[in-house]
Amino acid sequence: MSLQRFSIVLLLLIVTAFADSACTNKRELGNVLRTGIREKYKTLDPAHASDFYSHILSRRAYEGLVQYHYLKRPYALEPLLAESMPEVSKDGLTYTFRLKKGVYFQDDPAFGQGGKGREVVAEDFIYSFRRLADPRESSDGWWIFDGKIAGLNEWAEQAKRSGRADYGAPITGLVTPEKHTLIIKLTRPNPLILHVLTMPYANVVPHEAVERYGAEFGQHAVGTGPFRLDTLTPNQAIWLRNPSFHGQNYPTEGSPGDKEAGRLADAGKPLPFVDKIIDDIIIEDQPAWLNFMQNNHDYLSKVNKDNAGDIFDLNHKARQTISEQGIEVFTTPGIWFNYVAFNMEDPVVGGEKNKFLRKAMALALDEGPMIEKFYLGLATRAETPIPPGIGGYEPSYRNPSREYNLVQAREILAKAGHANGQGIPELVYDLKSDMTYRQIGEYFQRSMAELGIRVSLNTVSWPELLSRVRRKQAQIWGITWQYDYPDAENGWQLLYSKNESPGSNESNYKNPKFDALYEKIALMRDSPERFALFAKMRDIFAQDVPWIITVNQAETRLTHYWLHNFKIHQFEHNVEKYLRVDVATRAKALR
Amino acid sequence: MSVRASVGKSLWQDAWLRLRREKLAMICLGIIIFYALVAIFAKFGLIATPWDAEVAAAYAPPSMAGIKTIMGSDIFGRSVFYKVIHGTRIAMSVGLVTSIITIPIGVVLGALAGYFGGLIDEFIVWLYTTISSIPSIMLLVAFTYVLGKGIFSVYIALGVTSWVTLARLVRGEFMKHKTREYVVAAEAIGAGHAIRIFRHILPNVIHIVIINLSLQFQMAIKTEVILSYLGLGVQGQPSWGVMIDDAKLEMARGVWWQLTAATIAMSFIVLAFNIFGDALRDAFDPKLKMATMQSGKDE
Repeated sequence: MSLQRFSIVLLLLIVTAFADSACTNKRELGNVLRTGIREKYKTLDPAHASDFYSHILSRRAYEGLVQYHYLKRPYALEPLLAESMPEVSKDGLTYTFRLKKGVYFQDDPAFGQGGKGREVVAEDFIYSFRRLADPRESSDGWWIFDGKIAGLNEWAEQAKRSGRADYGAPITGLVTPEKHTLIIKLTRPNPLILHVLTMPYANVVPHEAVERYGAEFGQHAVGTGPFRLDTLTPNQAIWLRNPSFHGQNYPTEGSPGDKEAGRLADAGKPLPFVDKIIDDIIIEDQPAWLNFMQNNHDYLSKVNKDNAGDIFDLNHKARQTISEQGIEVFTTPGIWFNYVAFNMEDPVVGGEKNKFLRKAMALALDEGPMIEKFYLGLATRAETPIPPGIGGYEPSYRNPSREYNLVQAREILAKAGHANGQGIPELVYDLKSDMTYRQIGEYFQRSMAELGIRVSLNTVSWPELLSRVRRKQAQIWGITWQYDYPDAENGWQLLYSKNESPGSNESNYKNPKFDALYEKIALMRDSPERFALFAKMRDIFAQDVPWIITVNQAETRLTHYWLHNFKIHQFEHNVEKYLRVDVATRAKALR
Repeated sequence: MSVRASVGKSLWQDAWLRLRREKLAMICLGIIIFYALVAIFAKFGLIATPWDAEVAAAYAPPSMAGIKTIMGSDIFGRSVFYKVIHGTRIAMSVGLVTSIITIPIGVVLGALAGYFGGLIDEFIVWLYTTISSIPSIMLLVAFTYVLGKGIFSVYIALGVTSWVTLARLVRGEFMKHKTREYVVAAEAIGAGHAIRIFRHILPNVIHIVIINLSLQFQMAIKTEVILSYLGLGVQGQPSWGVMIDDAKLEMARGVWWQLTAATIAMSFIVLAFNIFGDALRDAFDPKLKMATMQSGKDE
């Protein structure tokens, strides 16, 4: 046994030695970008790219009508395969897209003799959208159009009934008067439709390839994007520059700070910059970290909490060992926020009459130590459900219910006849059984003890927590919301009365004034008028305290110094085309 | 031949004499007594009270400045030393209460099965085979879900699931003893079943129970730590398991003292019980000493 084990170790050593020398040969890499993909991908078929990493990989090759601007914050949309942003009819129901001319699918044997890719026309989009609705495809992306496009649901129903999807049958909501114009008609006004059009689900695929490859289509990539698939194995994907790419130039404008960071040095230059991408699929955190640290990858896309200590010192500055290696640390406020939610139907903490209690509790919870203790300083205080980076975020706004003020909190309790927590029964705080959540719960418990309010912690599994919340059984709980799309509506809908449990308004908050405002902003696009309504909503939010909103957690990425133009983008994954590798510098560093 | 008037030593005296010669076993007994005293003192608030007060800044490293900070402080600035002491209280109480629940169940069921045999035996064997066929940690998790979380559920869950080994051993001993001459003699002079089981056979197998107790105890301590680590054990009280759970993230910051303190505290008591348990068995049954019987089978 031990001899066997010894020989395995020996074998491993030999293999590593060889692998290392193989790496040395590879050090003359050329213009290649090397990344670590942190999960097994499921498919490259955009219609099924529901998991994060399939999403990322499929976006190397596939494109849609619109995309998010790489540099602009708050996140802004720009045309990609469309010539310009669509014309929207007055009633907000009809979107007319004019397609860019001269966009070709990449060459592929699916296109018959010679395999030359053909031009993309509006009909291809209609085909791709229909695939989502096709019951036989049972696409994970159907929700993006379900009930939203006129006639598409009926078409899907018909397909289900007859057992065969008729791709030739007309759909009232998807029309193409000529081959470069696509008209989408909605069932009701929905400005968010443009956001879902950025998702891979809405990317354009050629029917020739789908038909030719059938079930194997997910192992191929026949898109219009900057890269084409060269090799795909379960552990690696290699992409080469697509010679027939329709072309896009590096953005000429960005957000404040981009110029200083050198992210506009390449302004106006044609994309992509790299000739090749090697995506290594590395699931475990530690090998991914080591691969990055040993210069095998050009950036690190996910930083494990435990490695945060290797990157940052206790003052949240990048450690000297990190900066000495020329590693650049990027952090950005996450598009999620954490909060302590109250069940507004609970007799003790809910409703109008217990507002004083919620407010006192909110004032007694100091998020400062939380940021230090639980997020290693990589978080900022949250004021409203609009995190930084989302349109309508106000950097200068301070939520009056979130100013830590123990004296005022005690006064509020005393005024309501509950001095020192008298007469308030023990509250129950539900939390996910996880170390950090438990510690946050303990912190909450200790903070409330300052007011004389007793809190017991109820540790439950994640599904159990959700089911308790959805059945309105929970009283107080700690939870996180991550934005699905960069529009503040996604945060406010958590408080809309019609979304009450089991919907997304898990607090069961109901306020007709708030509802009326929500219904207005849901149909608007970002504008000063819309932001003025947000201001009214956040005042109601601050006054009623349906949650104690705590922090916006930050995201961290690392890059090596030879990688240029890197910027964290939280919604757009079609970003490798913007990255430039300083090949000479890297070659020197790797030697 | 002169008859030497020898006063026979009882099994207990004999075992004690043998045990006393084992230096290591006596050190282990000392450690166990020490832990027990710490637990009792902590229980009655004589030492390390209150454990949840802030004694220093968060994550203060161990310092000799005072007894409270000798093992540093945790995320909320609480004394790690005090937490270890109260962790001892929890651990020892789990060991004790579990044993109090386990022993009567194991002894009675084992005795009944071994003594009567037949249908009763079959039923009891079926019962403990069923219980032991379920992975014990799954069973414990199921129990804590049904009973709710907290130290009470840990007591019950451990007590109800860990009598199997004891019942098996006792059953075997009873099967061996029930046909011995002294039992047949007792039957001949009219002793009933209950008398024969409890007055005649039981005193002759009780050493099995004692040996099992010491192994049972450390098993309960370990399980409590695992359950608390998984968030299914004690709630809102210090436990070695919770401390080790805390340490997961702390290690990345270089905060090693909480993990170290909890691990050392746990390993000493578990080791002491193991060595002492082995020594106990050798003392009670010297014949076994050379045999290659498996010792920690119940783990």
